[in-house]
Amino acid sequence: MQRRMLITAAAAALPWAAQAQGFTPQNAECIAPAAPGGGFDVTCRLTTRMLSELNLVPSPIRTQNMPGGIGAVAINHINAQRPTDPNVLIAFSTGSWLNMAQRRFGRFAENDVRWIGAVGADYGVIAVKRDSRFQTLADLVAGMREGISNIPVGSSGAVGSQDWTKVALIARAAGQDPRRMRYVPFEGGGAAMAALLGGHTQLFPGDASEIRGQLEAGEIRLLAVLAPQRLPGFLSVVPTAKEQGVDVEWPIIRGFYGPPRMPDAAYEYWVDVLRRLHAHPAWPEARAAQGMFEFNMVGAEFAALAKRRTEEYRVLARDVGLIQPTQ
Amino acid sequence: MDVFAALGGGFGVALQPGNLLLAFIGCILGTAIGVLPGIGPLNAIALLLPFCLALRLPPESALILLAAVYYGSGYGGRITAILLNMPGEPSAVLTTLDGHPLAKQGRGSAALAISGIGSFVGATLSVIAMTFLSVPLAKLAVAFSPADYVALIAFALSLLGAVSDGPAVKAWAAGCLGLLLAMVGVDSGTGVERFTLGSLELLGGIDFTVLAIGLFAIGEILLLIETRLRSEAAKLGGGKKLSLREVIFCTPAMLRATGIGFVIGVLPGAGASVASALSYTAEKRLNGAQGKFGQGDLRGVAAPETADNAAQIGNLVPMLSLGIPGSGTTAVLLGALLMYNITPGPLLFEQRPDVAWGLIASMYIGNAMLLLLNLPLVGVFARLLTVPAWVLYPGVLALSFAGVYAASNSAFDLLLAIGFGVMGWLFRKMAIPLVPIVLGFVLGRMLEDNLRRAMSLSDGDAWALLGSPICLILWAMTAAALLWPLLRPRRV
Amino acid sequence: MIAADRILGAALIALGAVSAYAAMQLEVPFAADPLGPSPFPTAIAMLLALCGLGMLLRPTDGFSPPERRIAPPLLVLAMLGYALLMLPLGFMLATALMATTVALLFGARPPAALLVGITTAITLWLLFDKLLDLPLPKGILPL
Repeated sequence: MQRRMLITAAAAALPWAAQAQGFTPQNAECIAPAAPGGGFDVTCRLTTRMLSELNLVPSPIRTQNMPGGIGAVAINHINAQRPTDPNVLIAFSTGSWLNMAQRRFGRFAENDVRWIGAVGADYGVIAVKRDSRFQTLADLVAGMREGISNIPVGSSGAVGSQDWTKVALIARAAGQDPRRMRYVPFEGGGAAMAALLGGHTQLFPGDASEIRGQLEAGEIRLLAVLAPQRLPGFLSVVPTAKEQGVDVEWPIIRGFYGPPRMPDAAYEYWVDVLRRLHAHPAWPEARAAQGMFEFNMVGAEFAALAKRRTEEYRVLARDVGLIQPTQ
Repeated sequence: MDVFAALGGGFGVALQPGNLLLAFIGCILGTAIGVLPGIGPLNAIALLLPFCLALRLPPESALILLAAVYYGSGYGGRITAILLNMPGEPSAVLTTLDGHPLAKQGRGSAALAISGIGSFVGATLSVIAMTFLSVPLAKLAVAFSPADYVALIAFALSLLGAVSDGPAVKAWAAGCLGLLLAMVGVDSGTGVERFTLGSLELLGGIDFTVLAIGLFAIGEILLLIETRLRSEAAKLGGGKKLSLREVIFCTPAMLRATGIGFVIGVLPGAGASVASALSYTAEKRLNGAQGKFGQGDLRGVAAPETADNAAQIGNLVPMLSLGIPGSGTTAVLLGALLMYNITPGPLLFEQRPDVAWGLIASMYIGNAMLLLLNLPLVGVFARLLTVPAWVLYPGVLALSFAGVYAASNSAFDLLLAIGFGVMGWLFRKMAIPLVPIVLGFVLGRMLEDNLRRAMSLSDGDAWALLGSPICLILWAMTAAALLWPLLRPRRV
Repeated sequence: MIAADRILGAALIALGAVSAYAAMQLEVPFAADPLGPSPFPTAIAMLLALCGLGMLLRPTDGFSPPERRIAPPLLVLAMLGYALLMLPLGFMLATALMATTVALLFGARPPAALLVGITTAITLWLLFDKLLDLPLPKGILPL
């Protein structure tokens, strides 16, 4: 442990010091477990482009799309075909943790990958239409207590998805059974937002990066951001859920994991690359372009977070019956 | 005249030489992407976006380029559909129905020309509508409730009987098969797996591209190889060129298709495939007795192609004026704006008129470019048929496979495509129409999802399906469509 | 060959029945919406079986027997081989093999077929891997 930290410290100080450990990436790849254009694809393409532009890696990293089961195919591919490959990064998000918790990745879960680190995070928001009867999160909690099934929630993603979980956590904080929510999944966040604006649904559990246009035009109102503290910029006027006495956070963390038996030298190299990316003065702007806020966590600390979160989601999934207690 | 001043400003942006060049490049790229089976505008835009950022293109220029790729692809998809009976884009499936018979009669060039003209008419009229009617149209987009979508899809399905001329039971069987194929994967409501047979690759459902390439490209090649190319292959030349009279003859169909396509396109929950299917079937229902639909009616090419491009433009309305993407591709375009720190939404036209109006102006120019680019090239495209089969078909097959593989990186999808190919081949030999499979696939998921949404919103009350004026109008149209064959004067 | 319609009809009945059964067996963790995931596919599967029954009872004109009995199965084999060899051999070799076979099946002479195969493979590699930046498997070739 001590030795690792020393090496990392040295690597951070000297560009290319990581090579001294005997690892230089060759034909490195970033697997986006989705079709082109999705969130994973953006994580791969834009982050790797920044890495080469800022000379943090010696040669460009290519992006490979591997859609299927929101990441299930990719994690199986990595475990089956290239468990020791030092030259591959796989994009993930908080949604991947939910899928691992709900056993949607086959037999593979959080202990079958090496968690390299986050590149940033978006945060969940709870949005209502401008003329909604809910003014604050407290109103919503009270409304849920009156009758949770009278509040249609429109979002993208099935029961058990990120959007569902955001509202489920608030429902639980209100002392209600999330299974009684009236949850209406739409094909993508755009259609869900349209349903909110059309008055067909009352609640939209979206992401901070996707609601700016409607918010600035006064079409919607945000009841809360699901972040640990207030977000910067135009969102700084929106209180967090915690401020309003509802202890719910929903960071949509995005980053990379590596294959389960990625050699230590390669793992340390990639961890270090991310650390130097976070420290680079050009990064904040590029990160904002991806719709993300600062979330700089890498290496062992990050692996611990990934495992802790997945376990929390597993408990939730068990509580509401999404997975069987015996599993 | 606010709009004219704003549009003038937009032309000021769009006519800058750099932006003209980008629109031109985008149009060519888009047409090419549309031709290649398996690679859609979505992939192309996702790949181009990092380049735009790296080249430090200003946002309006990037959007002009990316949007040109998007609407340009609507011009490309028809080429292989008409000449080879292999649609290059999902929305070009309907074009095969009359386009390919025309090509077999030696009128491939005429079919290509009318589809190019149709695409231009649909796109340009839609841009005009968008210029003046964005705001009320955006209201329509959000007013549409799940129950209204159910009625809309029911209307579309009521017209489906018109698609094929064979025995009704075979068309129905094909449609049901398509509906079932659409159910494969994780259910979007409850998250349970349906019909996945334990396969991880099927969790996300069957990709439309894989189905279309299998049924059409591979199935067609199997049929060709079996009959030694005698019966099926299209001929070059021999047929008449497209005459002005024929264009005038197709004009009412194109105008109707523009209306249908544009309105469907504005709705965030429908898309170009629905629009082209609806306009084709509507034309066939209206003119069935007088036309020769299915055997090479020019209107059968003009209608779906016009509607396809009109819907593509319509799709941009909710994106630009509400910040709501109506399809996967517009979602990526919207993402591109966000990366430039531009927020699409109700204020876009005030905050960044250069971007919004520049884009709209560039679409007038781009579509004119596409028409001028495409009409003279019709002859060149048609020369595709002079390539010997033993060069053409190995290339087309390998191209289709490469497209499937590059999108998924899985041999599973290749095997799936081959399976659908064998199915398409056998079905053709048994006179089972393939188009209902595709339409069932597209409409089935929409129907189930919206039905369940509507029931969920009404808490299980089925009367909610008749709960709005839009619903009632659409159901009345459905009834009319079903009764039309009984009411119209018979001329057979 | 009216038998073909009967066989397909029977197959569709079987597929419809199995699908309907599978759809009815679906278990949801809890009822998130009033309809749930079962009724719609069950209804469609039953309708499919009904169509199958229609074809079984009233077969229409049928199946034209293949003119060249060997070519279609060979083409299917070539495509299957392609799918299975894609990873081990790499895109270039697998494509060259498949395209050559298809060209032969379309009546090309062997040298011409080989030329078609190799040209197709190289062109597509350049198009996808280099131009479109969509990586394809390299396989055993040192690229």
